[in-house]
Amino acid sequence: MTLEVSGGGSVAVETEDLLGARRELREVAQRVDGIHGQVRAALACTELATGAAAQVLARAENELADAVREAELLACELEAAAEAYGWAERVVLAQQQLLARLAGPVPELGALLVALGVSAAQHSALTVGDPQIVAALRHLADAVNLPGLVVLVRALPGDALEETAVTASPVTASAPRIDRAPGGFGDLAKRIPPAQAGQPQLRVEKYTLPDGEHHWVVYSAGTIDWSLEPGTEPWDDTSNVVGVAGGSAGSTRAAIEALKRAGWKSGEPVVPVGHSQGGIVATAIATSGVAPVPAVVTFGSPTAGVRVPRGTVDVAVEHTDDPVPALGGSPRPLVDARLLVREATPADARGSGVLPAHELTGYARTAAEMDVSSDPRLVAARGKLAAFTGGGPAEVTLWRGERLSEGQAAGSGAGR
Amino acid sequence: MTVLSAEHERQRAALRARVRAAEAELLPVYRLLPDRGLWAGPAGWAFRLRIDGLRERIDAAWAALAAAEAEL
Repeated sequence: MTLEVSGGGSVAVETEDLLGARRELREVAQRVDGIHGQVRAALACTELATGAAAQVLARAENELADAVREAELLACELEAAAEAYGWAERVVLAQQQLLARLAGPVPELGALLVALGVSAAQHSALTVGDPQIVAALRHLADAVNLPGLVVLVRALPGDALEETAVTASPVTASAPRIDRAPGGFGDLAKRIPPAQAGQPQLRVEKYTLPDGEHHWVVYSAGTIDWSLEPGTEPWDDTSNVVGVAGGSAGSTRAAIEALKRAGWKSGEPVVPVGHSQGGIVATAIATSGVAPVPAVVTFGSPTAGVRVPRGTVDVAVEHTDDPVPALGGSPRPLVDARLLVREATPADARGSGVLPAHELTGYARTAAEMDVSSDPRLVAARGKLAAFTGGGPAEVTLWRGERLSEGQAAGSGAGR
Repeated sequence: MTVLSAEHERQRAALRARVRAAEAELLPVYRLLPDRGLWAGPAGWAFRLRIDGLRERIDAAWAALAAAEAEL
């Protein structure tokens, strides 16, 4: 397992390997310190030794003291070193992505790139999950003024990216189903509704704490309809683009509507969870101020550039070979409270679709790995989640959002 | 005088045993050092250098202890 956890304030990058190496170095420091103590005690008897023996003993004592200091320092600096690695890696990938971008849309540049030392085989071998392409997409997203692009596209003939009014209806007409509280990130991922046409896109869980206060968890599916022109499905590309641009996406409004209809009252805290576009929804709820959001959890979402309110635990899980998170641009500086968990998609959990590293099944596997991680920030985040639900049980309802035509919207009074 | 010299020799032998014990305890420490090839990339390179430096210090301490034992 090679989870890489970034952010969370004091520590920038930490992996299970790193934690292991730190433990080993501390053990080395402790053992060598013990030996150093023995040699110091021996040196106290140097009147017994010849001059040469005393001299080499003193040298051993110095080397051991230095070794203790070095091991302790290295253990302390390991995180900083790993962070430096992260930044260096980004620089290298930025260079690679630049070449990849040039080679793709402008084939004539291929010969030039070959002259620059980039092989043609390297170009043709690139796929959408290649780190270079993922980095290229991130770079591209950084460069694109998305709100401006939305305005431009809307000016074109047709209804591309035109937002509509939405509504949300319960899929389960009977009384809420009772379920246990999520045990960790793995359960959160598994509870996200699958992105399937005509199926519920939202799962809402209501927790009643011993003091009578209500806490809510809302899970949002990923993109269902990939067309830019909105139909009836709010989990579409219009919501994707509008949501990433910081606009009022139909899917986000449907999620808030579902919460309200499920009984959520203003002021009651909500933990939003989502995969892909569902992460846009979750992050938008966190940033909208509509509810207190103590934590937000996203899987494979293009929300890297969005800053959630101070005090919100922001857990973002990204597969390094998943191009979708890159569409959110470069991650924010690591000084904020975001926990960015990165890992290549587990080989046996890759999907079979167009974006195998993006599928929810793979993220569910990574989430399960997060649940057994001893990273203190993940441990703390799991603790916060457990405290939030109070251990359950949850009243579960499933919801389906729909876009409304102008006529339907006028009749229902729903707004955009 | 003879008694003093014998006591001195006994203490030197005890000291030599302590130095030998320190040497023996130092050897397993090598196995505790983290894998120097743990990471790729620039920080991995820096990490390897640091681990190599630590190993060299332990080498030097061990050599000094061995030399001290020989001198005692």
